[in-house]
Amino acid sequence: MVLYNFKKITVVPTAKDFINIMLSKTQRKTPTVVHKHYKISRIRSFYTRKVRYTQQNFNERLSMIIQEFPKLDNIHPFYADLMNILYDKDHYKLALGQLNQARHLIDNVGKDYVRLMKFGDSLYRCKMLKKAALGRMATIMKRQAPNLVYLEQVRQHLSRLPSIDPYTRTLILCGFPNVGKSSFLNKITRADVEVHSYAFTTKSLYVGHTDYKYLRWQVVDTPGVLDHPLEERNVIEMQAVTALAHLRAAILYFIDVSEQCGHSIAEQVKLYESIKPLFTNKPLLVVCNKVDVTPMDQLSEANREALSIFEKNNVPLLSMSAVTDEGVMEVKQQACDTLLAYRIENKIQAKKVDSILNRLHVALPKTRDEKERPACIPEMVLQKQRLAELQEFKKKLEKNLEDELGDDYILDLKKNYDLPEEFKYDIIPEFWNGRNIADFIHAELLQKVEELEKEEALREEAGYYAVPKIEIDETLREIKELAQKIRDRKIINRNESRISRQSSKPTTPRTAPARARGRSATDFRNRMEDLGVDMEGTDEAHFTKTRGRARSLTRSQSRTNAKKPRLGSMHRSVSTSRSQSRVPRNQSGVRDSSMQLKLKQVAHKAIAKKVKKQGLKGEADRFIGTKRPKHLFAGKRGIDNLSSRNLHFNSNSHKKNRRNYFSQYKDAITLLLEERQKQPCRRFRTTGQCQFGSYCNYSHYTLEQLISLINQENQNKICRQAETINSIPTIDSWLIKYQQSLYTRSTGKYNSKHLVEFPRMTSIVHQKNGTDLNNSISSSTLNSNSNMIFYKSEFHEQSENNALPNKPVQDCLTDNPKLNISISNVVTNFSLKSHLNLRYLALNGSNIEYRRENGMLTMKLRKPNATATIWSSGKIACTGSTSETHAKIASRRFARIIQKLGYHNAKFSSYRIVNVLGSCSLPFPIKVIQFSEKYKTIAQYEPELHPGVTFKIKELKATLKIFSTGSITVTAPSVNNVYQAIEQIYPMVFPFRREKTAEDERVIRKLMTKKRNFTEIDENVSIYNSANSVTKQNCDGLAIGIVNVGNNLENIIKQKYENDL
Amino acid sequence: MAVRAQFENNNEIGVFSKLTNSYCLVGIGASETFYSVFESELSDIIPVIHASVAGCRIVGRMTVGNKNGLLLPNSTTDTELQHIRNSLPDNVKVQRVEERLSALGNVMVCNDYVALVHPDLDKDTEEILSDTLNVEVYRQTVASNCLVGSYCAISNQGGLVHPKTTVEDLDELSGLIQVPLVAGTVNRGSDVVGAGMVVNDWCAVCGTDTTSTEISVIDSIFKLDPDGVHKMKKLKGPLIDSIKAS
Repeated sequence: MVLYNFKKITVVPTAKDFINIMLSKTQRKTPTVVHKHYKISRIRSFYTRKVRYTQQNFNERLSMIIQEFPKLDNIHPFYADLMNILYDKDHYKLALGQLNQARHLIDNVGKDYVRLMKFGDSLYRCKMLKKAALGRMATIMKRQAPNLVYLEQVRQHLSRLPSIDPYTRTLILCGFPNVGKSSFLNKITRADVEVHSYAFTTKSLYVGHTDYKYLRWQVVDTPGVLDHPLEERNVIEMQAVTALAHLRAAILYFIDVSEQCGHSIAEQVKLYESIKPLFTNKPLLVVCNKVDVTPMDQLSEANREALSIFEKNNVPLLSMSAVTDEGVMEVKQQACDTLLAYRIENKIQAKKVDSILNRLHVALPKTRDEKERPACIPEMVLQKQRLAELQEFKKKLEKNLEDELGDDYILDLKKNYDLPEEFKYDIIPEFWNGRNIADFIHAELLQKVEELEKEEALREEAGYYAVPKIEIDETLREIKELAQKIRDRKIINRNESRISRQSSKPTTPRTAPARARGRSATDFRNRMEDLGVDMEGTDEAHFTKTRGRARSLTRSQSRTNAKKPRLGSMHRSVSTSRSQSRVPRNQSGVRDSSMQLKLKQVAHKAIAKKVKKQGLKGEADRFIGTKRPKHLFAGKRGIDNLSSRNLHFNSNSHKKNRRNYFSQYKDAITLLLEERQKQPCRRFRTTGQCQFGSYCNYSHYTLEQLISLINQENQNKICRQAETINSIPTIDSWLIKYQQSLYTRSTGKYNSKHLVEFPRMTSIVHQKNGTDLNNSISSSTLNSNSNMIFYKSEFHEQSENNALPNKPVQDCLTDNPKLNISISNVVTNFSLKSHLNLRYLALNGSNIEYRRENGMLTMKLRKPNATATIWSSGKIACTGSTSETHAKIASRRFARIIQKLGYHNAKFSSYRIVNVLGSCSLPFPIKVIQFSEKYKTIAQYEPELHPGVTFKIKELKATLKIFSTGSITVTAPSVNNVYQAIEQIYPMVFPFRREKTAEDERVIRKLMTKKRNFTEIDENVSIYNSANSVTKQNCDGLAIGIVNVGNNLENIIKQKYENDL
Repeated sequence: MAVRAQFENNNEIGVFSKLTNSYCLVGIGASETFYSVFESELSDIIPVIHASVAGCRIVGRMTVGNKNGLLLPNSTTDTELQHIRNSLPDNVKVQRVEERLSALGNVMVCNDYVALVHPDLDKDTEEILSDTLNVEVYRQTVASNCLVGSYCAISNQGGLVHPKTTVEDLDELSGLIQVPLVAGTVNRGSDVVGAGMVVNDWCAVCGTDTTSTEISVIDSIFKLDPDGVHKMKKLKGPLIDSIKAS
């Protein structure tokens, strides 16, 4: 066992390397990804970990260094002294101490920064803290650079020191330099030490090992020692002194008798005398070397005298020659023997050997009697020994036999019996309780057994043991089969139930559609009839009275009658001072506790069922599988979502535009009033534009414009006066008006304006202007400049349009009863004779919706209000216009827009009106049934399919729907046809008019409240009311009136839109 | 010189075999390797017998014997007894004893003249022992162990006892048995000497783990090597120096 192994100390890196190792280890072994959106606690722990990890690593590494370097106080004094001589004890201790200090400092830094990290409030700060911590640790380490370098040098030197075991048997060779110590070492050991003929060839300690008496001996060669005071000795000499001082070993003091070493024998003896104190209590030998040069007997008298001092001191004096090998072994043997004796003596003195002494003791018997107890060795043994000497004697062993036979080998126990050959294999009788079992075996036993077996075989042959076959008749077999089936089914059921019980999934998946109810009265009836039950006369049977979903009137009435007055309801005339608390829901209507219990169970079951079926977690689980189903939310609004809309509505630009826009609809009077109070705007007048626009405090109106305003106002005034003068209302009409006003007052919402016949379109603009304008703005902001231009132009048109007088047309019809025919939709078709890239249009155009799934675009126009459906073939269908002219204008505009989007070769061609939808309300309700009966051949009335009568006029290609309220809708290929159709139908319907009932009133009122935005209904009522007085007049006249109305309208519109076309 | 052997990877060969000057019992193993060790050494001189006692292979621990006779425990079956009887020479007496301590090999140890026995052994057994084997019987312990058979191996020429036996005990035992004794180990430090080896006057077999030092001790004390005792004396010094006080 090597006690001191300094070869295993790990390398001490330089400070730079040290820091690099530590930091890169931190980088490698700790997580590296952190983001600032992480929770702060997570970020903190991320950096804390880094700091702590680095600190721990520093600590570990430094601890390892401190631990691994030998502590001078703990090691053998020989090594301690040696290290002191070689590396300077103070320096060594200081270096290690400073490393220890650095370790503490680093620990403190780590601790402090981990604490500080708790106050890091952002990723950046935490990171900086970490950086600071690691930086400080690195700085501390950097300061240790010289220590680390020193320790590394020490480590390297230590690892090259010979491993000397200070406790083992050791011979130390000492003496002047160049006296032949190393030569002796080379002779007796296998160490290959340098030997030269100059002094101080050996500069440090060398170790060799030799064997003697079954033991290993350590031989230490020391550098030569000169004879001067201890203080003056150099490092090399001091090593020798250390070895001599601290190792308990046999010392061989070498004397060069030939004096070739340059020191006389007397000097060498003097040195011996001076270092003698180091040899006390150690076996000592003086070896006279180099006797081959100067034999001992040829020594001078003085030298002899000098050497005699050893004999006086009882120090053995030996002579040898390393060159001739003379006396080398004797020296070794004597040295070893003396050392061994010395060591044994020491051990025995120290009583260390007591525990093992018994094992070294051979107890020899004291004879106690005269009896001979000779050893009993047969002659054969000696013979055999002799035989073995003479020849290879080999017998075949059981082992060989076994190997030969392999698996067939059977151990033959009887082979070696000490019996005559014939008896060897006799059966050993079995004994039981001291008796031979064989004695009790019957002689004829085997014979008897044989007989019995024979008998048994005979029986078997005779079929004695055969199992009789059981006959099964038909019924029994059936029963058996059935039973088998039942059994199988039972097993299957059992297994199924087991499986179903095991699964915890809901019985129906969440995605399962609601199952239609499989029961119905008809179904029941059919099934009963199939079964042969006579089901006639069961129309009023109880089972037909299924309870519908809707509440029937009678039932609800009866129920309300039966219902008890509620607690705290209006029935109580006497007000109670105390508040009446309601009965809890689960107790209301419950008779007694037993009922409540029952209801509770029912409810529990119902809940359980529901929960189970829908896979809910409990009663309160309001789980909705998908909160925002994709199909309802994807791709509907796009950029035009609610938030962006609100943002826009609150924006200044929008507010400004809105104000501008509304200012266009100011009455002539208000405009005049406003403008008259302003001074004319000079900027506007000179440059034609003003940055303040409608906000300008000065008037932008020219004189001509003001005059036209005045004229307009005057005209309006005249119109109003004419109205008031020409129409002298009857008492009836006045009454109705009164009623109406009452109604409006009660609802507070319905505002009857004066009837505006013509500008249905403008009215729509009124209603929709807000949204449409916004739409166009929002879309235009997205699109290119060209669209902006388009938008502006449109805006301009609009303002122009609105500048036109809102002339009530009503006054033209004041002497005839009004029959209002409104055209609600004109459908036109045209083609651009050019293939269109819909995607391109959708991306670049405005007010366009791309329906890719249908392969078409829908483009909308605010003014005239129309919608175009555009296909890629270049065909376009335009709908939503309210007149033929509008339709044409709209169509042309669509064409133009597309042209402007880059399709320059698009031509507006094959334009035609496909269909016109008009509606009209007659001033009276109609007896629809009688009407349809009269015109059975032409009219179709199927109340199940459609509430109105379908009436077709072939020559006009018109289809009319006539409703009992008196309203008629017409579809025809042109507006004219619509008018003509109404003209034709009016006299046909007239005879079937009927008095207005309460029900009609109700329906009309309902309609009014529903569609109060439509002024037409308003008209409807008034027309209806006035109709009573008109009924006696000529029908023809009325019709003509209608035509006139139509023509008038046409003319006006034509005038209006000349500019556009 | 002592032979090393192993019984089915077990070094306690004294358990599976019994060696005396006139016969050798060997437990029946799975293979004949162990048997053949004895066979090659002894079969020309004395019978080497496959044996089992009470169906067990541990014949060495169940039996005790010398050149004059053999004692078997009561659990030995008749067939086994018959087999052993058939195999042994006629001058060897075989006796079954009714003894509470049925592992006779553990509680007794003997050479051809003297036997040491367990202090608690039955009086009758002791009588049978001395009659059958022709020995003087001494109740003794070895290193304060009652199982003298386990901790002793003796022949007519020498004996090896438990390593912890004191010098005084050694001298006393040696005086009783009238052979030189030494305290030692077999099988690399095992103190169950009796179980670790078997020995007679000219031959010894020990476990394969036994070190050469142990073998040399065995050889010298049992006089298997002519100059054994001298050698031991020579070794004393180095031994003292090399043995670490424990």
